[in-house]
Amino acid sequence: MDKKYFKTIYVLFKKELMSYFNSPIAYIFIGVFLIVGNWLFFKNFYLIGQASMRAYFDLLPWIFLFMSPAISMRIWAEEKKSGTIEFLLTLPITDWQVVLAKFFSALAFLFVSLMLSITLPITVMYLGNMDIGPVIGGYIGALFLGGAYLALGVFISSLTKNQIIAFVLGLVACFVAFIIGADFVLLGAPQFLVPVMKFAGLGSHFYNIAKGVIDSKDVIYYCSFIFVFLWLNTRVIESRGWK
Amino acid sequence: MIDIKNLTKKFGNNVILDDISFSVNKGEILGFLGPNGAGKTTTMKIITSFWSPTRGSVKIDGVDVIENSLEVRAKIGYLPETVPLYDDMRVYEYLKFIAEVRGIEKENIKKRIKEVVASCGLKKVLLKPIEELSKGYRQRVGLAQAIMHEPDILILDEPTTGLDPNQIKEIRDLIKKIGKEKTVIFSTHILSEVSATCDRIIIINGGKIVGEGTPKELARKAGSQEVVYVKIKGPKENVLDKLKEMENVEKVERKDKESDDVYGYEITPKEGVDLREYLSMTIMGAGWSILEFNKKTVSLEDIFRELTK
Repeated sequence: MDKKYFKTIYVLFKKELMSYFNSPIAYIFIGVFLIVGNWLFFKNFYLIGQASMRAYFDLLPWIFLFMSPAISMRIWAEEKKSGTIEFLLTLPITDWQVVLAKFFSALAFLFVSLMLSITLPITVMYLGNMDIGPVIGGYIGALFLGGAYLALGVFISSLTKNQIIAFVLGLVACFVAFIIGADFVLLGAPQFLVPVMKFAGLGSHFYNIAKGVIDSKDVIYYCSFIFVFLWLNTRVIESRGWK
Repeated sequence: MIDIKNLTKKFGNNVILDDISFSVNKGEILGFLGPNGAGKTTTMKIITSFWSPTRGSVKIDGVDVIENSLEVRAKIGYLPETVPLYDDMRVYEYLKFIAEVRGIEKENIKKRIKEVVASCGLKKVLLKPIEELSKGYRQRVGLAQAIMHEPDILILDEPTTGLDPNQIKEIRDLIKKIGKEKTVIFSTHILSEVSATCDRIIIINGGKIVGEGTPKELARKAGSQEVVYVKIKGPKENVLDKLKEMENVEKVERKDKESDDVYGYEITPKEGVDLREYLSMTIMGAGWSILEFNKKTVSLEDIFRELTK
């Protein structure tokens, strides 16, 4: 792992990120995200009448549920469909370098979209006295949650060459991963599984961080979740041509 | 330079490559010939380490493609059959990406792109998005990509499919030019292409090597000979008899008919004999006339058909 290793990742990362912004889809995407997010938030904001972003961060996992698979669906599926994967994987680079570059480019795109929603807390701060801690926590949590969704989505994209399939499967997988620790699911689960499911679900960790409490337990959870799916991704890429 | 030993590739029970071995020397242009589905593309995918073999090994300068994959990949330039390119990028953008990802030093990138653009004739399309390029230009961009890092070995999978005759000639000339310094393996099912470009040919069929050598060697191996074709105006029975009576004639066949007294004949001489002078004298001597006359060497087509039957 020398300087060159990361430089190559950076070159690939740059190319991937550029390919998002090369197509109009990226702009439509960001537009829809901002409009939907703002609309759903401000719809109730004046009714509740509290200078708080809580409602927004409650909403965010659900918006991300659709957004993340839409970002990640093309990432491998397109390479497979167009055959560029054959070019990519015969370059003198490791599978890890490619997977990391792809994952971080997706994350960077999500980050850009998220940062553009910064008008929201600014508006709220202008309208009333808001506690800034949960907002920062919320954004950090959103990034971790988005990262987890994306790692899962990028992995699923590597299983198919059809983007639509990658999207739908990604959505379902993210939904399951998110919902598994939710209260109403836990009610129906066998007693001994409850603590495991509660820890395994993506949701509870997000709400912990969004409260403004950044616990190393949650951070480690997200990082390992991401790592596992990136690792699985490298395995899938490595097993090409075996079937 | 490239050593392939006992290479086998199976998908389930389906045997794509069946124990093939060959080697390619430095600076050689090797034509890889075979009908569709013979295993050409599979072999190339294994050499470039895109696929792994079921059995057997590929070594480049003694370095194994599986064990030291990255080292080998750095030495190879590869143009896959489908010419996959990133369609959303512009040509220049794409070439720059290739140069960067191949690890060319920053200060040399511009210079190298310039050279590649010149040798592949891409100057006109540099700022165009790749998706708008014609097939011929796509192929050239693909080739530019493959030679960007000045690889020792070039692997080109059917580099001329779908091109018009002018473009085919250009690509061939380019391959020849590159082949002066580099080792090139290219596959094709167009036969005239190999004889025009290659130093050596490997014919593969059903996952097995069925022929190997220079075009001449292959002709000898296929057990075929030169024949003389002559179109004669004269009474048909007499002509045939006369030809058969000639010395050093192995076989005479009446081929095509132009009119009642004009027929084409194919004459196979005994090995090593040039029959032409004597033949023309004989025909003229009998008072007939020659309308067409040529010597045919057995074409690669015949060898190919013979070997891949």
